[in-house]
Amino acid sequence: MRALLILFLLSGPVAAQMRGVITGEVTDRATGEPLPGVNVVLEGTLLGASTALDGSFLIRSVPPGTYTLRASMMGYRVGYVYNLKVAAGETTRVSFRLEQTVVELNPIVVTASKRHEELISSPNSIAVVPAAEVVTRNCLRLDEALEAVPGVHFIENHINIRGSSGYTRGVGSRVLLLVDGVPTMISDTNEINWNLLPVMEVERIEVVKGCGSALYGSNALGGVINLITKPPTTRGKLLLRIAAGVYDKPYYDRWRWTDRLLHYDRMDISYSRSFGPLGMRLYFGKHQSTGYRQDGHFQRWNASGRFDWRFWNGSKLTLYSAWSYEKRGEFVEWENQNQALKQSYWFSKPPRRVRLNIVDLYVQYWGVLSPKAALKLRASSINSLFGDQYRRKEDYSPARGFGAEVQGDWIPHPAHTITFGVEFKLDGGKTKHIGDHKGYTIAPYLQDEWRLRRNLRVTCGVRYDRYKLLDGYAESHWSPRIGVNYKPFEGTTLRASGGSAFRAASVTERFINTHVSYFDLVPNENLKPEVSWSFDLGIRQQLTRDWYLDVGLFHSDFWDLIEPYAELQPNMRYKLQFRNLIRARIRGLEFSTGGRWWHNRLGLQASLTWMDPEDLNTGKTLAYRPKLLAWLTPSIRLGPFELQADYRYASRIEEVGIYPKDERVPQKVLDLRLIYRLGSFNFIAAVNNALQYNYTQLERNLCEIRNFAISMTASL
Amino acid sequence: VKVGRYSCIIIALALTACNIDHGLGLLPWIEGKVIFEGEMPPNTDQVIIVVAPQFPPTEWTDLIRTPPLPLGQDTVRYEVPLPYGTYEVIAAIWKAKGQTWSIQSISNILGFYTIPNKFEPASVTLTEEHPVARNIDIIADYDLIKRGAYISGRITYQGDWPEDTGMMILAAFPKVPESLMDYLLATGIDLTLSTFVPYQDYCLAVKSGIQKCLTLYWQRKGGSVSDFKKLASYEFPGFGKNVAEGDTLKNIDIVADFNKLGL
Repeated sequence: MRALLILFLLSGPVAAQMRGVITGEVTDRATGEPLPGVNVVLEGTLLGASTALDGSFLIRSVPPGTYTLRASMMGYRVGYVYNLKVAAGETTRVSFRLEQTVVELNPIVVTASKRHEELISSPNSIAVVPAAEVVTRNCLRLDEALEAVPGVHFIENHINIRGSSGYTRGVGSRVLLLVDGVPTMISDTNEINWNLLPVMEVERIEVVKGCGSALYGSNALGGVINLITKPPTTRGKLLLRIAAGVYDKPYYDRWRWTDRLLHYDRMDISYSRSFGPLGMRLYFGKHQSTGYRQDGHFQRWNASGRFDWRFWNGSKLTLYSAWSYEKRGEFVEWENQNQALKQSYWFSKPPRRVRLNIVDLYVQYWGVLSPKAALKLRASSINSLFGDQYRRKEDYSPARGFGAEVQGDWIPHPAHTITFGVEFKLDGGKTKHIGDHKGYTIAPYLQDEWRLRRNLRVTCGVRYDRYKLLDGYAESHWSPRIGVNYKPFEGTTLRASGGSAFRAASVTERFINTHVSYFDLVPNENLKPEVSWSFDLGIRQQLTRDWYLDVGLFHSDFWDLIEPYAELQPNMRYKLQFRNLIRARIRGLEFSTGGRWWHNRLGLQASLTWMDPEDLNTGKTLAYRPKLLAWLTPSIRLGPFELQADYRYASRIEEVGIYPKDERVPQKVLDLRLIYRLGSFNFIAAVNNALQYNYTQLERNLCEIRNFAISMTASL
Repeated sequence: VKVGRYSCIIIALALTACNIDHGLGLLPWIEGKVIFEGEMPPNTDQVIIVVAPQFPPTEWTDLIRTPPLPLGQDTVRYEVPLPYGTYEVIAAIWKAKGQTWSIQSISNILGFYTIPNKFEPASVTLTEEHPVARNIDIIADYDLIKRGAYISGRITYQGDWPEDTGMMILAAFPKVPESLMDYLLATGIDLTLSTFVPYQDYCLAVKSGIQKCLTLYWQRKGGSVSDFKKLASYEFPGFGKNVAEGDTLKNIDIVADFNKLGL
């Protein structure tokens, strides 16, 4: 082991002999303008650089040899220079002329392997939502940006990837949220807060479907979502967005609950620039709404800051922090179906009000030790304070999480890339409802990507998680994974992966002890982790330069899924406890395609996901899972105008948890948008839920009614 | 231009093919008035209307509930939206201050929609042809929940207690229950009896008047409220025994034999 460590540390500098330098510039093919901020990477090594204001880049200390150089930036096709010869003591010059693209067929992703790779080289099923799509779809929240991802479905703010999650009012997400690779879950409930990060500050969203515990540990049972924040720009850049909308009258007059005009608005402003090696990005935004239903109002403030320090050898230090504060009402369920937008009397006295403060912070250093070895160090924290309307001190729930990680990347042989590290996490909360509980995780992991042939890669890895509550309970879990990526022909990629994942119960699930209505929530300290084995098989075919087709088969088996269990007590109240109850199996098929034709004027994105989420204990469909999801986005672009439509369909949810006898219908929603581009400005007029379709996903919660929105985005 | 035209046609066809509808609609409903009688107890907190598709309901969430009715008025109008179907019981139920609504609340019935001139629940059916049922009036009598009389005695258990025993229910009736609906007529119910004991002394608060029988029920642990079995019964001879307000019928002893439970 010691020998390996010495080899890892010394595989570069000590063994270094005379080295070469690669320099050059990256320009836009159409305009010839230099492109700052492009990532230039020397494949087969861990060396790279980012282009400066004038589009130039410099990579030092390159061992003599023949390489492939890759240049990538969102919005442009990835550029390559093959057979680049670098000689000792010499400078090699390279020029890239990148072509702008509307369809990102093969972007560079980082989530599936914890390092940069092409999407088509990954053995996992991955979807990417670029920032441009977030803007043109007029997304005001992050969850809206994810709605178009094949296999993703939301119930309220609960994300469900390929049927892995149902609805548990926010507790215990089976999807792990990362921000720039850093876990960002609320630490007492293990839930995702989609409002923490402003959607405009996200450069792209990567969605890795299926088990992800081999690299990320708990929560990555159904998938991993990585929000990649926008890096600081080289030259000063101001980004401004103003959006506003009004809700239409409800379809039935009986549903009107107020005579007020119901509306919403959002303002985002950010500024970014670099001063030599220091880049910074600052953001502030506000989002508010009257809501379309009683007690649906909210006011949210967001701020974030990112500071990057780039070292001469390509190493980078990043400090990032995001803050969000919200005041909102809380709609629990409707009065009845004939007063579907009015809060039930039983939850309106007193009116429900919530305040939530969250601060997320991370510091990350990525250091290049040698062309073949790099090290990443990370420390992070996420703190939240949740409070109810009474403003009494004991009704505030503080939750604190701390994380640290050391990761190494090592290329001991041209055919092997080894990623290894150890992650530490401390989570907990302190309230009158759960007491004061903390738990820590320590988890070493190891992964090897082995290029057996030029077109065949095998990835295998394992992670060991040791979770221990400071109160005493402890559990361990091994998460192995194997994946294969094979490109038999140009434009064809076959992928297959399989592995195990788990989710440790959150502190809230274990220790909640409170009374709500006629329920007595009681603790269950010995909850075992949920475990899954998942397999994924897929093919991705590039049909033309701007058109792809992807077909995937997936199969997951779950053991000990944690669900709330209700039992009638002698006092006629229900005892509600989280228990390891469900043995489940989810099988499915996913089809997606996207492309542009007729000189980019016509566009289409479509997906279809069929699932069979079965509770093997009862033979019934798992609760809150639709069996069929479909998404269709045709668009037509004429000059500066573009007309887009989004049609999303989710089949009727067969099983629900609370009111199984309520009427339920499928989801059929049509959104229409007209986009006008004028230089650095984007103007959008949109009609959401244009057909005024009324449906529920969660019982007695009518989804958003028709609304009209306008927005202006300026990038100056 | 041609492609643009075709696109418009395709989008129009797609919209048509989507079978445009508006999803959830309004439900049919029942409406009527609640006529209050008797003197409202000073500890009254709320009175609501509950509608049960079947009686007894399996869960509290099976009941369709209205918000609390305004108190202190002789007559109050109400309206309850309901899916198409038949509803066996439409009742006004009462809750005291400091209590929470639960399935136990159905033992505090002030009145229900009845067959004319009979004290029996009447069902209501909503169909597409008759989506609104009007004049579903309920006489809510506060005297029905006054339980100022008592029956006391000892329950002796024989045989082994089933391991999955959840709770014991003791109820008094003015007539021997013949159908599930007769449970609505209970003059008193006690859901707080001890379990896994060889015997216990009880004192059941009942509505004054005729008491015909006293029945002990056993319920499985985790079972729904409708999932109970009759374990033992005590029948008063003849038409029953009259008990006046403030009086207690003493020494009404019951022997409950678990061997006869028939599990």
